[in-house]
Amino acid sequence: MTGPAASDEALTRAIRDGDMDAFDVLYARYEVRLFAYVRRFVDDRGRAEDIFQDVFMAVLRDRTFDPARGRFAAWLFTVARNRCRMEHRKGSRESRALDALPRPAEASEPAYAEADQVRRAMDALPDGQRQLLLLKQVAELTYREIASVLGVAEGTIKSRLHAATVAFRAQLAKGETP
Amino acid sequence: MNCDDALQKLTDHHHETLGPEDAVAVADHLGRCGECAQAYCRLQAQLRGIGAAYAERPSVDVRRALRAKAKAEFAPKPTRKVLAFLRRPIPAYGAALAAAIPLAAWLGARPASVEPTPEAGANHAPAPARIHDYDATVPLLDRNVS
Repeated sequence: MTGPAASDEALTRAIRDGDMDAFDVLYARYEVRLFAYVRRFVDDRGRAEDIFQDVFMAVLRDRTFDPARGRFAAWLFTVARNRCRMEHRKGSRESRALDALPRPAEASEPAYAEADQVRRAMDALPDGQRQLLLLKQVAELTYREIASVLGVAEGTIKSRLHAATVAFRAQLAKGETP
Repeated sequence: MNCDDALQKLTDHHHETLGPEDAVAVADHLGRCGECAQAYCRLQAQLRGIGAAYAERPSVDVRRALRAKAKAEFAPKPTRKVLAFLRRPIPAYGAALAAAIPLAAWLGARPASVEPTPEAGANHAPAPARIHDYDATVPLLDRNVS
């Protein structure tokens, strides 16, 4: 089954068997989540698109991943994270001014805070907390998947996420104060 | 549960990391307290705001290029299609089908039964039918039959 209800793992197997309908479903599922995540690391949109393609193909191509055993999302974002860190090390991403932050192509739902306020609050967080919130709110991963990506215990993720959320809200409140 | 306790636990309630008892208590409190419910909505909106602030889609060309790459790499070639067909698992009724093949071959190869020709019928008249346990010389017991 490769319809919209199919699991990521089933879709991966189907793509490897040449089913392009499965590709369309899987791509639509991760298009925004993965690209938004990659974009946090890479300023240049064109470069981000290249990395996005590389990561997606690498995951489909790598036969060491057995879809029957592993979680696709955790694997995809682990590859993406490593790839982005490599890119970061190469120096493609310097600490950027807030004004130079990329603007979203579209906002998928109405948000309470202005996008700029949210980005400022996120950028003020330590890297670990920002990563955690991105993986939860942008990549929409489960605790187990986040734990797999970051290589820590699930319980640790829960407590760190609590701290990250509190810190994010505190930063947001600072930004709202005139 | 009072408002202070509920507000303390809102974040964990949102992330679904509370124990079952606490989760029920917070949900119950939110159902009764408008102020805390409002604070909870505010928290949810702020966290949704992260996703919305960063939502970004790659260009259509990326999708097209990626699809073409995947197709080139994974779409089955004609030889692979034939191999895949040959490697398909035999269905459960395969054994029955396999047994039916020699049976069909035997039925096809069996000579048709010989029909008697009219000439053959003239030379060899069929013997009259014989009735067993009947003797015409023995008078019928009942002659009243009209």
